[in-house]
Order: sequence, then structure tokens, then C-alpha cells
Amino acid sequence: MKISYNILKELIDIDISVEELTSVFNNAMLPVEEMERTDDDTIFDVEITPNRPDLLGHIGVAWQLSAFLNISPPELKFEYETVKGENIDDYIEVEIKDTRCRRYSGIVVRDFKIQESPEWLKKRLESLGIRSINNAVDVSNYVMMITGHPIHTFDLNLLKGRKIIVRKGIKGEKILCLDEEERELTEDDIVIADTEKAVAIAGVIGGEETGVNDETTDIFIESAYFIPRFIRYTARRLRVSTESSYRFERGADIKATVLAAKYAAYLFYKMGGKIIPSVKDVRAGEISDNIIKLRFERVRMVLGVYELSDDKIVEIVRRLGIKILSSAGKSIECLIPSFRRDIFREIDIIEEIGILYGYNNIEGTIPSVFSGIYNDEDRKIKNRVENILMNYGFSQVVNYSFLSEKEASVSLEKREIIKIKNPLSLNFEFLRASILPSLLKNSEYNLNREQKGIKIFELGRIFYLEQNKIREEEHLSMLIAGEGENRWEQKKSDMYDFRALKGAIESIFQKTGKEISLINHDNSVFKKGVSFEIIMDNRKIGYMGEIADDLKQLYDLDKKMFYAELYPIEFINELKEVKYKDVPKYPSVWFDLSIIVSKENSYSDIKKAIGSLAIKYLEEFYLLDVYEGKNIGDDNRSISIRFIFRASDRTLNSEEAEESFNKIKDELVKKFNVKIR
Amino acid sequence: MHDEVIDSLKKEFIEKLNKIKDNPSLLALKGEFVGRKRGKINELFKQMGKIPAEKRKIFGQAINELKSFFEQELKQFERNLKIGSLSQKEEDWTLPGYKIDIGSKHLLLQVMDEVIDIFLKMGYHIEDGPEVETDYYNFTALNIPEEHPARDEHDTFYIDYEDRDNRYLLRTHTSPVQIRTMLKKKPPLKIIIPGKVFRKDEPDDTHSPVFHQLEGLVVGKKISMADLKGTLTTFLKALFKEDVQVRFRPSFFPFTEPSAEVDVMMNGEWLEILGCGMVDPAVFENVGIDSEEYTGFAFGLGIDRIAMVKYKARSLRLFYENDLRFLRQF
Repeated sequence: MKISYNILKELIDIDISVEELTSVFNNAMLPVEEMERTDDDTIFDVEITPNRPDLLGHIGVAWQLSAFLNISPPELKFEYETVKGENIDDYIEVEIKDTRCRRYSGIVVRDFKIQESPEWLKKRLESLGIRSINNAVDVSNYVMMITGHPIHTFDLNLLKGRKIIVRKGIKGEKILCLDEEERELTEDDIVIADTEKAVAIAGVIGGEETGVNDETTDIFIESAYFIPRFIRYTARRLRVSTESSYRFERGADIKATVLAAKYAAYLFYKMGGKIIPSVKDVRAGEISDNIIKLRFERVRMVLGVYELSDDKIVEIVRRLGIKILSSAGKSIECLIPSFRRDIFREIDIIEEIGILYGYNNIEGTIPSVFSGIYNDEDRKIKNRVENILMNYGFSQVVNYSFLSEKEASVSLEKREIIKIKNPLSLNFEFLRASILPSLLKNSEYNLNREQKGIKIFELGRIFYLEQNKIREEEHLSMLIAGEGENRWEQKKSDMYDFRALKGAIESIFQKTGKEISLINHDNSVFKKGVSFEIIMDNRKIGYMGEIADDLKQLYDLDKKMFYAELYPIEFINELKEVKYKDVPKYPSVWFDLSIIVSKENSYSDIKKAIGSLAIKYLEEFYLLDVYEGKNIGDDNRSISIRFIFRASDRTLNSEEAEESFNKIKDELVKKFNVKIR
Repeated sequence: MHDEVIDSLKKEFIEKLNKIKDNPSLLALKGEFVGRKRGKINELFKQMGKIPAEKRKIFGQAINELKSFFEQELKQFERNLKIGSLSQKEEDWTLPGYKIDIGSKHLLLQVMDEVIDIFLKMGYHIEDGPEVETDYYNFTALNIPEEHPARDEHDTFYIDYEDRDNRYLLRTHTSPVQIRTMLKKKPPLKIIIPGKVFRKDEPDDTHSPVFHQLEGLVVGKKISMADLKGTLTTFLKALFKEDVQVRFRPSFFPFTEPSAEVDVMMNGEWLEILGCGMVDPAVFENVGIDSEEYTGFAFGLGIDRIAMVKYKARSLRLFYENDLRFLRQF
């Protein structure tokens, strides 16, 4: 909303620097978005919040400023003469049949010549960002910019039956509007009609056929009040928003209809129009007074300003144009001016007192509320998991939650995906049911931008429909693709392969004493054979595998990619418990074993076999190295394992350990026919 | 005669020491002269028995002096060897350290953590809620009924699915969690709600259809606007710096009254950082809290915006492109 400093000066006695005024605007609910100096004026572009339709005109703004600056309130001073011996009743009749129109006022102007507006009006409108059309249209716009009240002008002679009827729309009824579009009405709309048909959609837009045109000489000024929500309903249904509907749906001042009509009449009069005496003013129902009780102590308590005296509160309240009807010691009865539609409760007055007192004058305090110490465990655990992944080289990404239909259909489990009714575009039409497509997208983006290797993770939500219920889950996904920088000094932890991903997942659980295992499980997103369910304590906690080729093609990816998606809900509680074993008192004895074993036997087979032997003194064993090469045969693999033996009550001698070690060797030879190197 | 022995030994030592070029030969020299088993000093001590008693004391003193001379020289030489050019031939100490690729936490979530930590220290509790919300929790319960023009300011993504009771949407703010919490728990309440939110905005430098918010809510007896001011000022000082300039401007939100917007001064410019206000009695009524007995305040801040201001990021898009060259710098 554009505000002219010159117009403000005509309404109130204000004379401060533009800088000072800007600061006043900002502190008085009128935040300045832009300021523009013209030759002789300064224009403030101010953001008006939806609760303050009174500020959508210069009078309202002047009211706000006068209250804030504690100066006299604005006055719109004007006078015009009317034609003697005439009466408006001879020209037009008004009937309200639809009481959603609460008041309808109007004035008739005769012998008016439609032409260009005088210079001063053109200039004013232009500085307020409104294009000048002709003197009649310009008057409507100018009246709205000054009073904030939208008016409409008809060509009086085109109104059939010389009658205005405010009524409900008739289903199927059509009206050609001022923007030259034909609109169909319903019974929910409020319609302004003559005796034949609709001539305007109330509060929204006028009709083309009865509007003021170049041949018009006699004008009927309409200035009415409609219940806001019905205007909003119609404007939304018809998808039309006009300066008029914008104001009516936020709420006009029911007591301002006559003033706005008269101010318009005054402008027409100044431009040579003849004003027919008396204002038509029809009401549907009484206009009730808005009276609110205000308690002084409540004001002090809500604002937290205990030094604010009763007298000071009364003074501030009066500045707002509020009349104090009675005072009962601890409270007052306030009559709220009709243009302040936003004030209908005690708290609304308290807010105004706060603004006029100055938010920046309120001394800050700290609330005394204490609701216990918060248990931050879940967040800490998630942070710990994130830290483990980052130490493995994974960087965190954050993605949109919506994708194209094709992408969103990519999921580890069969899911019914959720559609957005009004997406930004078809690329963002469905909610993701897995984090996988997001990470594939990130990989494509980065591999196309000088990145050789990708290690990324995301902790985010996924969505799907299940048995007519919307499900929302938090998943943790990791993706590895490409290769490292190929430094000669590269360590195993810098690798970009399946075991790098597996190692990262295992280390999440390292301190819990829990082991995870992988079970082969075909999944369309993964390569056949390199596709697993991740199991912990016989519970599925996620999936892991190598991305299938056809899925990679969807993203123009060719590098090997490994992916895991975990369901934190399934294991987050396990991470809360650290399992601790006492530090051993006696030294251990260890032996390394290198075996050549057929590729048909997996490491997990060997592990199981050793585990089932219940070997005496065997504390633990772990993989040292894996080797494949021509010299040991294509069907074989060389595996080195270190075995740690220990007695809990004494120092174990090496003969005892060796005896146990030999048992393991014998078993492996017997069971898997391994060759010992 | 014994003096000659000592002198020649000293001479021999100095000659040999001057020829030393690396650590192993230094160690060998050490063994040869001051070694415990076959060192030349020890050999001398062994000869002590053969010496007449009256000269034994003087000879002993001389050997001891020679020994400490050797030790001093060796120590000095060793020290020089370590820092000198000799040692560089073994190791190039200027080579870079071993590199480990440590990943980064996403900048937005780093900022989120920073904000959360400040509020946790102030005694707040974290609450959480769904990202797919109902129209009721996201709007109606927050005093934004269907016909309210304030709805226009929230460009909302609606879900193409409805059931008997609800219309669904992607939450436009984390405020619905305030409603859910107030329905579930009794005051006093002191909570924060971090999370992802959605608005139908085309992505550009200052808009994103997905962004992050943190909201706070305090409900108790005699909670005031002054408490709101004090709390947010304290927070902003912790987040930026102790002497940051803060201003409160009156504003409007359907769910708070009075309402304010808060700006901080950054590089000579006021930047809007958060919105706040006293919980509107209508909201309390919707959740069954007596607004005569309890008052409260609420605030909301955009994490993306704070991250932009703090790190002078040129565009919001950087946060969602997930370019590793950007992410890994933080």
C-alpha cells in the first residue's frame, strides 16, 4: 500500500523528517518496504497485515500515526452544494433483499462530463501507483485511497427500472464484468441487480453494461458494506481479486459508507457535476456498538510493564479514538470506533497499548517457568550416529521431500505413494517413499561436477499410504559411489566399496555389543545377489546392496554404487545401552592363520564353523586380510585370521593355546578342505 | 702414563665423533666409548685394581671427568643431529600429514543444532510432530479459519488424499506441534519444535519450497511480553554476539497477540530474523487452556535465513543443491 506524505500532511498536523517518519511507520504497525522521493512528495510503500483493513486508506494511516505521535486525529474537510428542489428518491430506489449486505448508501450525480482528470488528480494517482483512466474512474480510485472504502459508479440511465436490488445470485445467472469476462453466479454470491439482471458482483467487480462510459452523464455512486467472509468466498470461487474485494474481505467500516459516498460526490462536484440532494442510505439490521471491558492489571500483566499507571493507560486508550463509557476503579468500558475491525476483545486493546507504549520501551525479563530437565538422549544418539558416519567420510545432505512420479516410485519396499494436489511442477508431484532417489540425484549432480567419489547420508522422513492411513517414518540412508582420490597412502577406511559401507554400519553398533548380519534378499533396486536385508537380533533394521543397472540408467550413472537404508525406529533404543566387558587381567596368546579356501565357502561359513566348536580359551578372532589372485587359483580365496586366546584366571601358556589353535585348524581342513599356508 | 692414556682416548673420541654422519654410527660410537659392557671407559675402570692405591683416587677422578665429557659431547651431537640437515636425509618433515576424509554435517543442521543447544541450556524441551499435517492443526486450531485472509500468506501444498475427518497438507510451519503438545501436556510448558516445513514457492535465491524452522512456546502463569523480549534478546546475543543490536516491531500473526517481528543489525542493515508474540486467547481456547489463568508466548525463526545471515551465503539454493564442494567446507 502506497502512502503519500503530502496527503498525510493534509489530514494531520505532522511535520517531521522523512527518516523520523520511517522509524515511526516501522514502530506503528506500518513496516516500510520501500521509500521513493518524487519532485515534491515522498511515497512510502508499506506492508499492511490482513487484520488491519483500516490502514488500506490514508485516513486510517493518519489515525494510526496521530495516535502513535499523540497529535490530533485526522479530519477530512470538504463541502459541496446540492441542486435545490430535487430529491434522490425521484431518481433511484434501493432495496436490500440479501441481508449479507448490511448497508447500502448512494448519491446521484447529474450532468457530469466524462473526460480526462485534472492534472492534480492524475499526478496523485500516479504517485500512488494507479493509472489514470478518466475522471469518473479516477474519483472511485482516489476515494478508496483516501478513505479506504471501495465505491462503485454506475451509469444511472443504464440501470433498468431505476432500482437497485441487493439480492442472492440466481444459479446459472451470468454477468459480463468490467474486465470483459463473463462470469456465472450462484446462490452463494451477493449480487447487485436492477429490475432486469445483475449489474455487479457485490464488493468484487462491476458489470460492463451498466458501468460508466464515455457517453455517461448521470452517475449513481454506490458505497456499501458487505459481511467480509461472503465476499472472500465469491472472490475465491471466481478466482478474482480486485482492490475492492481485497478491502471488503478484510472488512470495511460500516459507518464510513456515507462519508465515502459524500467525498466522491464532493470530487464530482469540484469537476462540474451536479449533486442531487440527500444520500440514499438503506440498512439491513442495526449497527451494534462494540463495547469492551479493559482491566488495568491485565494490561500490566500481559505486557509485563508493571510501572504503567491507570492514568497512562486511559490516556493511550483515548488516543486510539476509543471512547471511555464508564470507569469502575480497576477497569474501564471502552467503545471501539467502527473502523477498528481488529479490536473485539480485551487482548486487542492491550496490543494497541503495547504498540503505543513502544515495544522497544518494554524492559526484557526472563520467564520463571521451569518444567524439568529435558532428556536429550534421542538427539544425542542421532548425533553420535551422524558423527560415526562423518568419521567414515560421509557428508550429510538435505533434500526436498517430493519427487517426480517415476522417481518417487523407487522404493525398497512396495509402497503406495502420496500425491500432492497442487505441486510446483511434475518433477515435485509425489512424496518420496524412500530416500534412495534423493541420494541418486545427489550422486548424479556431484559426479557431473568433478567429484570422483561420493559418500553421502541423509536422515530424513519418508511417506506412504497404508490401509488408508498416511504413514511417516524417519529413515537413515547412506550411499557410496565412485572411487577415492587414489592416493597411494589410502587406507581401508578411505575405500569406496561394499565393505566400506558395511563397516560404517557395523561401527554404529560397535559399542552395543550387537552384531548385524546380512541375509540375501532380492530387491528390484539392487543387483541380483548383491542385495540384502540387514538383521539385528532377528529383526530387520534395513536394506543394503549394490544399485541395479537399470536404476542407475534412470540417473545417467555408470559407476558402481552401494546403498543402505536403515530404519532408526528399529534400533535407536539399542544404541542407548553400552555393553562393557571387564579389562582382562592376564595376557593373551595369539596365532595367525592363513588359509586358502574355495570361494564357495564364505567368511560367514567359516565364522559359524569356528563358533560352533566351543574352543577352549578362544576369546575372539578377526579378519586380517583377504587375497585373491591367479597364483592360488581362480576359484580360491586366501584368508588370514588372527585368533586371540586367554585364560581369565591365570597367564595362559602357549602350549595350551596352541592345542586350541590346532583344533580350529583341523576342523577347517576337515570341513572346508582348506589349505594352510 | 695414565694421563697419556686419557689424552689419547679423548683425541680418538673427538676424531671419530667428527666423522659421524648418521644416527646408527653415533649409537655405535656411544657403545664403543661409554657402553656399559664393552665401553672403553668401563675398560679403564676395570684397570683400577692394578693401579697403586695412592694414585687410584686421582685416576678415578680423571676417568669420571672423561666419561662426563664423552656423555656431554654425545648428547650435544645427538641434539644437533636431530635438528640438523643430517637427519633430513632420513625423513622429510615437511611432507603433509596423513589425510583422512572426514565428512560434514549439513550446514543447515549445524545451525539448527546451535540454536537447539542454546534453548536446551535455557531449559526448553524438544517436541516433534508429523510433516504431513491436517488442515485443522496447521490452520484452524491456530486461529486461521478457512475464510481468513491470512491463509493467503501460506502458500500450501495440499495432499491428494482426504478421509472422513481430515484434509491433509504439508505443514507450512511447525506451529501445529504447539497445538498437539498443548492438547497432550498440561502447563507449565517450555518447548521448542525444530523441523522441516513447506511452502509453495518457486525456488530462487531467497525462497525454497522446503525450509527449516524452529519454533518455541512458553505457557505458564503471568508470562508476559517482557518475558518474550528478554528471552529472545538473550537468545540472539548467544547466537550472534553479546553486543548485537535487536529491535522489536509490531506485526500480526493470527495465533499471537500482541505480535512482533524481530530484527538484528548486521553490517549496518536491519535484518528480519524472527516472528513472535503472546499466544492468542483463541488458540488457548482451542486446546482447552484457560487464558485467564495462563498466558504464554511463542516465536518462530527460519533456520535457513539464520544460516544465510551468519555465513553470508549468496543463495538459499546452495542449501538444497547438496554440492559436496559447498557442504564439505563447513
